Amino acid sequence: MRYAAFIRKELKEQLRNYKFFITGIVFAFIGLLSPLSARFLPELLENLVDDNVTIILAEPTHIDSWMQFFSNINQIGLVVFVLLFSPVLAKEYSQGTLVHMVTKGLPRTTIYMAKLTVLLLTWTAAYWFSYTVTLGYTLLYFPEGPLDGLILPAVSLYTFGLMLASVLMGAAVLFKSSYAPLLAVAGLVGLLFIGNLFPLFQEWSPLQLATRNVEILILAEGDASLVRAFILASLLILVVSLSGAALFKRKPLQ
Amino acid sequence: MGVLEVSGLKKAFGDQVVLDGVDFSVREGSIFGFIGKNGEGKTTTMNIALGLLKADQGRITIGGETVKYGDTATNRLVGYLPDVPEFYSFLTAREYMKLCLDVSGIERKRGKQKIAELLDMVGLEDNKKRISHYSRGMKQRLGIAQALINDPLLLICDEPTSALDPIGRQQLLTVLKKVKDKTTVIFSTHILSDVETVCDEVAILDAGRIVRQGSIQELKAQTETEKWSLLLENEAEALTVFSVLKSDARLANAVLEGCTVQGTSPDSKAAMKTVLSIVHTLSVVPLRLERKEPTIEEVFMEVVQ
Amino acid sequence: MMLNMMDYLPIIIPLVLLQLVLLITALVHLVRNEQLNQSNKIIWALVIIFVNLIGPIIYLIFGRKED
Repeated sequence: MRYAAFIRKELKEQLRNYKFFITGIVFAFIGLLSPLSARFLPELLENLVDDNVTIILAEPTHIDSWMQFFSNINQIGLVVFVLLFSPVLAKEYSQGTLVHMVTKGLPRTTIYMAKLTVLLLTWTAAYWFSYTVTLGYTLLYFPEGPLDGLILPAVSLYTFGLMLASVLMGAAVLFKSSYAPLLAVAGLVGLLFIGNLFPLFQEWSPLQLATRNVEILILAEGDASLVRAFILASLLILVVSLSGAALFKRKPLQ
Repeated sequence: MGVLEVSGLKKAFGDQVVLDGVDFSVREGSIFGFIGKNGEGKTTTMNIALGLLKADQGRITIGGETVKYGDTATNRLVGYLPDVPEFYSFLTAREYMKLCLDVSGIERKRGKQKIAELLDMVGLEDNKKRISHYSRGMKQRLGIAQALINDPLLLICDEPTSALDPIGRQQLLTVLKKVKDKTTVIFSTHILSDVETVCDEVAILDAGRIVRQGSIQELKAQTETEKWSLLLENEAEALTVFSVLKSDARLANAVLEGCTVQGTSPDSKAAMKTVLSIVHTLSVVPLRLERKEPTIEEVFMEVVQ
Repeated sequence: MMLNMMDYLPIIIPLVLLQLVLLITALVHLVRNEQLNQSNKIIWALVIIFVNLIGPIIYLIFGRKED
């Protein structure tokens, strides 16, 4: 099958250019560092600070571990992911390698969908791998922490990542340079942050999926505003992917 | 009906008109040379035939089917070799061929054998290196192999030899001749000696139009200027003959070069009759008198002036 | 240090291992890389070894020069 063949090519490429390797290492680090810093940072601080100064630190809980996880994924995981996969199409454009595929009758939609699939699968694997590592160590260091309410905030951030990956792919069709898609994604996130200045926008913004995780974890439930964020994010994924694929069909390849 | 039919093809990039009504057709089983100066629109024509570019006007059919811009179904009938092909450099030749086979969507039980045969034909069969370590010539030969993976009706080569050294060029032309049994080949080039070596038929593109099309013999016959040359025993004789010849209006363009007097004329037969009679009246016996066929180079030069 | 080292171990060991794997992978690639000249290799080696974590990653993304 053509789709599978092109996916195999993509997988081989990302494997041989070390992108999967780097992604794996970075997300493993995030998985390990999050519970580690939650558990030992307060202890470390106490030891480092002069005995005369007493700092009062609350005993860390499993919440701190997840707080670290969500913020690390946001600040490191997503950034590294978008940075690594920003040239997903640029090299193919600049070298003209897609011309051979297209002139053999491989539909452009198939190329687009295969590349998108690999991006989404990579994000999925990296994210849940990191999540599992954090989960394991959080259970080890904070055995008293309850497990309920974890899935919703975890799925929120996951969905936010899917959205950024789809936007990255769409932007890769639009701009031919390696790092313009990265800037496009950064621009989108920047706009979402600016939009947050308006309360009405806040209640609809998909940005909630990446910023309200700890709050939802503590509340152990979502609200209407979060549901709207999910709906909007899914819509955005759909619209960006479909228009990206449509645009790619009309785009000169050289 | 030719394998490839181009009719009324027009394309402009902004104000610059590249193709201004191009018509030609490629007969099945031939090697077709598509000649033109650099930047005359050969590549543009080929890209339109591959659905990579949109034509402003006109129509191209391959095997009777019309080519559309974008995903064109005619691409299943075509193999394509660009001038400087780039392949996925992280794959080996074998892996790349497998990808091409899968991507072309043909169910093939003998896929592995087919790949081995093609790589063998271009001399890359034992190569375990990744393509990133390949030389230009190796990439070009891999280019031919990958273009033939789907047993195309038509093989389109864009300047296949211009980036190669003489040995690489020779190898490539040999491969093209081999291919001819099964596949019609069209290749664009500005290297005219290649055309004379392998082509059955040629079309010359100039100023956005096809100015000549036909077999090499036909083109030569159509050419207006024919050459004649007269070789004499010594320079003194040559000088005498030359000065007399010069006075004849029909032979006014004659030139003297050592012991040779030569010239061009629209009708070299008549010109030579005159030359013979002059030689006779001077009672000089020439070593050689010949009528020269124009080379394809001269045909080209005449046409694009 | 009053910290209980035993508490750390189950998480420190994998962290150190990851660092090592990353470092070795980058160094092996660097040594075999034919695209870089000697002086560039030395600079990259310093970056890989002394810029913790980021160094090897930067090399593998930008320094390979393979394609």
